[in-house]
This record gives sequence, C-alpha cells and structure tokens, in this order.
Amino acid sequence: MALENTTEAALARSLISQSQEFDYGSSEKADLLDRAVVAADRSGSVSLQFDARHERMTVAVFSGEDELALAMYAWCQHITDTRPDIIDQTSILWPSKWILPMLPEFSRINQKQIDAIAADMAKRYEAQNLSRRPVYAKRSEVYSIQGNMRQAREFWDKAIAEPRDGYADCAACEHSYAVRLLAQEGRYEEMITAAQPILDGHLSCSQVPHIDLPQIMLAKYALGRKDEARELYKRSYRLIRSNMEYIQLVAMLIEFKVAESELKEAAVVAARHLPWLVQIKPDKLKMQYMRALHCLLLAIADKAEGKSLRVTEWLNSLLDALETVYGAADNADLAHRVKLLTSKVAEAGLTIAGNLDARNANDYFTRQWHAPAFAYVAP
Amino acid sequence: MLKEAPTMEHRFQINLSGLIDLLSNHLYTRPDVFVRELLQNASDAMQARTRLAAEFSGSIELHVDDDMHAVRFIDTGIGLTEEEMHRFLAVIGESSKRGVWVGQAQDYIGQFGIGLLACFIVADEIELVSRSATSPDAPALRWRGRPDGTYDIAVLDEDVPPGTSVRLIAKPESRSLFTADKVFAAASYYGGVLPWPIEVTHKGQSKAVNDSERTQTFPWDTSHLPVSSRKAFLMEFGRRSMDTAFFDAIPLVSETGGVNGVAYVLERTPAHNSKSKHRVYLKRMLLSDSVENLLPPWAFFVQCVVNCSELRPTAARNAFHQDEKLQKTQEELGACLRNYLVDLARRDPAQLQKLMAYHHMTLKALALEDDEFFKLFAPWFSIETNYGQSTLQVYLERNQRILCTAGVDAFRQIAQIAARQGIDVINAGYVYDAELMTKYGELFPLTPVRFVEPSDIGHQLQNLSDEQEARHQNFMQLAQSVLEGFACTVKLKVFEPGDLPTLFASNRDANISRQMTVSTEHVDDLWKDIVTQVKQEENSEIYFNYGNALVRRLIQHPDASLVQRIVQILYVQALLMGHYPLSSRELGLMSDGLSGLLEWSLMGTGEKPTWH
Repeated sequence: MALENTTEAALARSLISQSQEFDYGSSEKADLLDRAVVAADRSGSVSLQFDARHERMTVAVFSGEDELALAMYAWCQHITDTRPDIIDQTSILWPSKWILPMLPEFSRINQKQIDAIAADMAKRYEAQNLSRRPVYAKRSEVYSIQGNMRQAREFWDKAIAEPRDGYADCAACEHSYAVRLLAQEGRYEEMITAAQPILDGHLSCSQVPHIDLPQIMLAKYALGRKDEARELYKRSYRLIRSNMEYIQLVAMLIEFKVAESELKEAAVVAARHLPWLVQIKPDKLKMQYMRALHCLLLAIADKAEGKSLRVTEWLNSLLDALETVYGAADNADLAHRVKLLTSKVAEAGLTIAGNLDARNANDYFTRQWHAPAFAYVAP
Repeated sequence: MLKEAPTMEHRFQINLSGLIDLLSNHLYTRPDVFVRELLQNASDAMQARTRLAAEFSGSIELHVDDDMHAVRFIDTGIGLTEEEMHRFLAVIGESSKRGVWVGQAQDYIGQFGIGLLACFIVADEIELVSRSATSPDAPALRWRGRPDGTYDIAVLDEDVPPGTSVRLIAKPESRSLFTADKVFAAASYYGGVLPWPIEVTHKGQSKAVNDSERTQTFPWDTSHLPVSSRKAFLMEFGRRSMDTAFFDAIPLVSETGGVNGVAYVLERTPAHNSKSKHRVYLKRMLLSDSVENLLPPWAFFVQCVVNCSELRPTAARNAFHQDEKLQKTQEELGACLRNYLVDLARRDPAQLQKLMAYHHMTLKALALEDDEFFKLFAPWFSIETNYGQSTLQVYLERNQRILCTAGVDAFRQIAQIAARQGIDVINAGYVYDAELMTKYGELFPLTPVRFVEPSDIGHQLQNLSDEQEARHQNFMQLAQSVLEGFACTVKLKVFEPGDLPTLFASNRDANISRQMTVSTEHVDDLWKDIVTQVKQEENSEIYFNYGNALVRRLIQHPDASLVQRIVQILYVQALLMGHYPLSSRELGLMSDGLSGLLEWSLMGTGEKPTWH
C-alpha cells in the first residue's frame, strides 16, 4: 500500500475546504477543486483522491460542466468497484442519480449506452437492497428528456409507488419534477395548482424553485396570465443568471422576452450569456440556447423587413457577439448580417436537433426548433 | 402479486412526552422559550379583547415565587370558555387564533398551536385559571394539564376578573430558569417590544419590562427627538441591543411586509457567503435574533432590528417563507439600503470610501441587479490587475478597453507574460467580477470588454519565418514526441522577455480535456467510450522562445537524448512559471529529465581531469 504524502494530503484537504465557501457556478470553486484533485493524486491516498473527485464531480454537476462530471463519476465508480476495502459501495449511489439523466442530453451517446448505464444503476440499488424509487424516477427523467412522455409518466408512477428511503430525492425535488412533467405534458392548469407550494416557498432545495419558475412562467403565459408570468421573469432571472447550469432556463427567458416583443431586453440577455453557449457541452442545452437565439434573430429580421428596426448599440453588440461565434458577414449591411446569422444559427441548431432525434427515434427536437418563441411543443 | 386487503382506517398515535422531547431538543433552541410562548398567548388574548372593546387597556404581569419555584403569568385578555379550553388547550396544532377568536388570524402572533407544549419542557403541570370576557356570566375555570396528555377542568366558585393566569412549577432540573432575574431577562428579550405594559413582580417589588409610556412605539423610534440627535440615538440603541459598535444606521420601512426597523452597517468585512442574522419581532414579539432571509441576498453588510407584521415565519422561526410577499418586501428593504448608499455617495464621498473598504462585495452584488447603481459605483470598484490593485476608474484611464480573465487560475497564468507584453489584464475570477465586467460592456458599449484565456496570449507572439520554421522541423518533431501523452502542442515563437525560454498556455477546454483523460485511464470500456464521445479534444500549447539563447542552442544541439531531457525539464518549468499544478506524471517527467541530465554530465567527467 502506498504511503500517503501528508503535505500533499493536507493541501488537498485544505483546498477542498476552501472551495466550500463559494457558490456553484463560480470559477473560484472549480479552480480550487481542480488543484485539489491534482494534490490528492500526488498524495497517493485513494480515499482522498475519491473525496476530491467526488467534490469536483458535484461541482461539475451543479455548474454545467456535464462532460467533466461524467469523467469524474466514471473514475469514482471504477474505484468503488476495484477498492471496496477503501471506498464503500454505496458512495456512488447518490451521484448515479445525477449522472443518468445527463446522458440523453449528448447526441453522441447512443441508446444502448444509456440503457446500459440505467441497468447498471438499477443493479447497484438492487445489490444494496434499496428502494427502486430513485431508479424509476431517473429513468422517467431520461424518457422525458428524450420526449417519450408515455414511458416518462409510466416510470414516474412506478417510482412514487415505491417506498421512500435515504436515497430518494427530497420532497421539494420530487415535487418539482412532478410539476415539470405536467408542464411537459401540457397539463398547465394542474401544473400551476401543483406548483403553488413551490411558488409559496414551502418546498425548496438547492435547485428548487430555480428550475421550476421558467416552466411555471410558460404555463401562466400560455393560459393568458401574462402579468403573473412577467412577475416570475424577474424572480427567475435573479436565481439563474450566475450559473451556466441554467443555460436552458436563460434560453426560455430570452424567448419570453421575444414573445413579449421586448427585443432589446432579449438581445442584452442573449449576448450576456453567449459565452456559455461556447462552453456548455450537452447538445440538448446548446440546441435550446440556439433556438432562443434563432427566435430572437427571426423577430429582429421581421422588424427589419417592416423597417421599424433602427441600428442601435444593443443590436450591434448582439450581432458582434454572435459573429465571434458564427463568423462575420462579408458586408456590414444590417439586414444581411441578421439574415446570415439566422441561417447559420438555424443550420447549427437543426443539425443538433436532428442528431438528438435520430438517437431518440422521434422528431421532438426538430419540431421544437420550428415552434414560435416561448411556445409549448407537445412531445 | 399482492393480494388486496380490506381497507381499514387507523389513527396515528402521538406520544406527547416524545413530542415534548422533540420540541425541546430540536425545535426550540433556548430553554426559556416557555416565557415567549406564554407572553405570546397573553398578548394575543389582549389583542382579542381590544376587538371586543376598543378602549380596553390591560397589562401583563409575571409573578415569581422563589419558595415554590413557580412563575405565574397573568393577563387581562379575553379569557377562555370551557369549550375553548377543550378545543385550544388540548388539541395540538389547533391554534386558538384560527377564526374562532374575534378578528382575523393575522392579527395574532401564534400560528402553530404548539406553544403551550413548551411549558412542559420546564414544568410537570400547567395550571391555568381563566374567565372569558365574552359574557358577563362566564364562570371562572381552572384547567390543569399534564405531560402524559391528561387534563381536567373545574368550575371555580371565586370572583375572578376576566383574563387568564397560567402557573408553572419548575421541574427540579429547571429551577434555575425560575429566578426573578432569569424571568425578567427572558421577558425583556422576547417581549420588550410588546404593546402592553409588562411587569415582573418578585417579593412585592415590581420591575417594568418595557416603557409603559411608550408601548405604542418601537424602542428605535426617533420621531420624538430633534432631527440632529436621531442618528446618535439609533447608534446607541444598536450598540446596546446588539452589544457591538456599527458603522452607520439606516431606517428601514416596507409596506408590503409591514416592516419597520433599523439596519446597522457592520464595521467589519463579513465573509463572502455569510448570511447576516437579523433580530426580528413579529407583531412585536421576538421571533428570533437570527432570521436570515429578510433582506435581498446582496445585503450582507448590515444587521437589522425590525418589527414586521405581514410576513409568514417558518416553523423553525429563523426564516420567512419564500413567497411573493417576501420577495416584494426584500425589494422594498433593498431600496432603503440602495437609497442610503446613493445618498451617501452624493453627500459624503469620504464616508462612502470608508464603507467601501469594508463592503465592496455587497456593493458589487447590488450593482449587478441595479443599472443606475452600477453606473454610479462602477468607477470605484476595486480590481486586481497584473500591475497591482487598482480601481476600475484608474484602469480605464490607462486603457481604452477592458481585458480580463474569467478565472483566478487563468489570471495567475497570464499575468506575468501579459505584463511583459505591455498588456493590462484584470483578474475577474473573483466573485461577481466577471459578471460586472460583462455588465460594464453592456452599459458602456464604447468600452469593449474582452475575456482572455492564457491560450490567447499565444496569438500575440511573433511567428518565425517559413524558412526558419522549416529549418527547425526536426526539433519540433522531437519535442512533440517527448510530450506525447501530455496533450500539449509544441510551437516555436519569438517573444519578450528574451530570458524566458518557454511559455505554457492552456484554456478551460484544454484543462477539462486533460482532467478527463487522466480520470478515465483505467475505467471500463463502457465508460471510456462514453467519455471519449463527449470529450472535446483540446491541447494546451508550449511556446519555445526563439529569441532565447538557451533555446537557440538547444534546437541546434546534435545529441537527441540531451535535447529530450532538456525539453522535459523546460516543459515542467513552464508549468511552474505559469502556476499550473503539477500532476504525478509531470513530476515523473521532471525527475526523469533531471536524472538523465545528471547521467549525461557524469558520463563526460571520465574524460576530463579530476579535481581530487
């Protein structure tokens, strides 16, 4: 057994401890843990390597670094399997709940791989004789992400029929998912009633109500309760603006502003978070942000055609920012720039939507792409 | 498959003594909490009686009996009928304030109907004598409750005035709480702001808990003072009630939350992410002195003393429910703080500078939410640049645009070389700074804001001519092969300073790619495939400085094994210069390189004359 390098071990522990002071999504937190992983590796202590990577995985999960979270999880699972004398078999059961629903967001991960990881998760819960509630719940999430709502509902019903134990999500998280499932099914009246405890603050968790408010906003908007939706916009943006993890929610807010014809506000938010589009890796999240950009560009083009659009600082800033990602136009004419960017964004977004749909064997994301801003799309 | 059984309904069995234990050990944080609960009940009873007769003015008395180790709470409130005793004193969770008493539930303080249970934490029996004021014929009743869940009610043949008196006799282990001093301290702590005169009587001597002349105002109210002495009064009140000195005092008002109070600016820098804990009175009864979510999250530079009447506390009493009303209240209270800061900026810039020295973080957080505030305060934001600490205003006097890094590590890696290139870079890796820089660009579009990564510095370096590149192709191939497996591309450039042989540059994607590779070396094929599919291969870059004398000699040296060793060492040196953490493999590379060099130099010594 390798001796632990105590200096490196102390450094790793200290870095992990310092990282606790920062919020998810902050670069300082991630930087400290990156160093902690390196120091832990140098220390030779397997349990410290596990702790550092487990922390880094958690931060990656809650900061939108999904690809890194998958790699860290793979390492943790490998060590759990190969060094059960040091790392308890149950240590990765909770993170496995985060990992499974990430997989369908990458179009390059095929269905066979998703099914294999889901089966592995089930096997691990079974081996510990635990309730299947989290297994079915996460399977339901996978189906809902893929737009297979019948199976999503079926597995959710199975999940909540299973007993709760220490590995079940908290009441707030489970309720939040149930609410979002109703939203995805288009059952808005029921969804808004069910969401009331979340809106009132009776149910909250680290990501609740953050991930619910934009969905509730959409439901209220669709039901014509527009003033309530506007109130929710402000409440929502404050919660999600600092964490890349919420890029798809920011995309919803941009679409909301487009639907409200507040193009300047939409453009400012879109340009502000554009660096996330470059950094974020899951295809589904990229596509949803691109969809918001596309809706915005179409709305801008509409106004340009009607000659009611002036060249303004906000418009120039948006187009300049987009051109750093998609390439600049060969002439500076506003309409030309908008048209070219619209087609480039559409091409990139539709490619991703097509790839996701091909894997999912449906046309859910392609139909989403073509829907108007902030509109419900039935799976 | 399960066979369906006939449905039978059952009731939960509540173990009262277990519940009391739960309350005392988990829900209530102080053993004197029975004083709060009984004062609360008394106050609500008085409030209910004012609904019957507006001119009613009563009082609350607490009598301490040392000999019996007993305390009696006497109020002249609305009293209870027998039906109300059965209903409210014996059913847990059935607060008497829900609809049956006169008025609206929100007029009362108690919300959960568990207050009386707190008495069983310190006493084995509760004796309550009450006469309802709702009817002149109402009899005087005595209710006695015990922690085993039993109680009895007797009609008293005595002439008792309307109101309620509750008598507790301390358990032996709780006797220390039943002294006059302790009861007075607890009554002042919890009920010092109640709108009724409260007195503690002990051995015939009465002592007022609150100022009976000013029970309708708050202790922090300054309306009776001349304007010139109000600030001093508030500062003294803050120092006395929170036992610490403050920087300044800001009056707080929120109509939505029914909030009235004072925010005290801390005279120290709070830790980031720390949550200010506020002393909050709910309908004039102390809710807690550690309420956390009354103010917007950015306002962690103040500590408040407030009363509120319209917000709903959680059962644990250290927070309010996160509902729309709380959000509006936070906005209104946030506006009070913001207006104070804006006013201070205009009225007393020197005082503002002092405040910013303690609280620049909170001002940055506020600036993110408020454009006007941002424009006013942005020039004064303190920033770290590769030329030292500065303010944004000073930086912008030197630069037409903002160049910044999004991470602290990226800044460390970039700082030195950027300075040598004459590039002025801001470290925006600290909390809020990256968002603030982005916002600066939005609000002041004539000043472009650009985020840079260490790899961007490479674009600033001078290329070699095609002919030079071709001539040194062999060296490039050799160096690249030495760094095989380190996801690093070798480049040859010319840059200042000339004494720097190499420069390592990486960006976020390359760092993540490197971590993913290292972490999945040994995992099973399923995971290896998955991670490979999602990984974006991105290499770091190492630049060898063609302007450096050592590098020029190196690339022309004929001994490939020596060049290999030196490349190994220069690679690790470049990582160290850039403040990159070294992995075990990189340490191994350096060790291998050094021992190779030592061997090489020793090999040569045999052919030379020895010195010993």
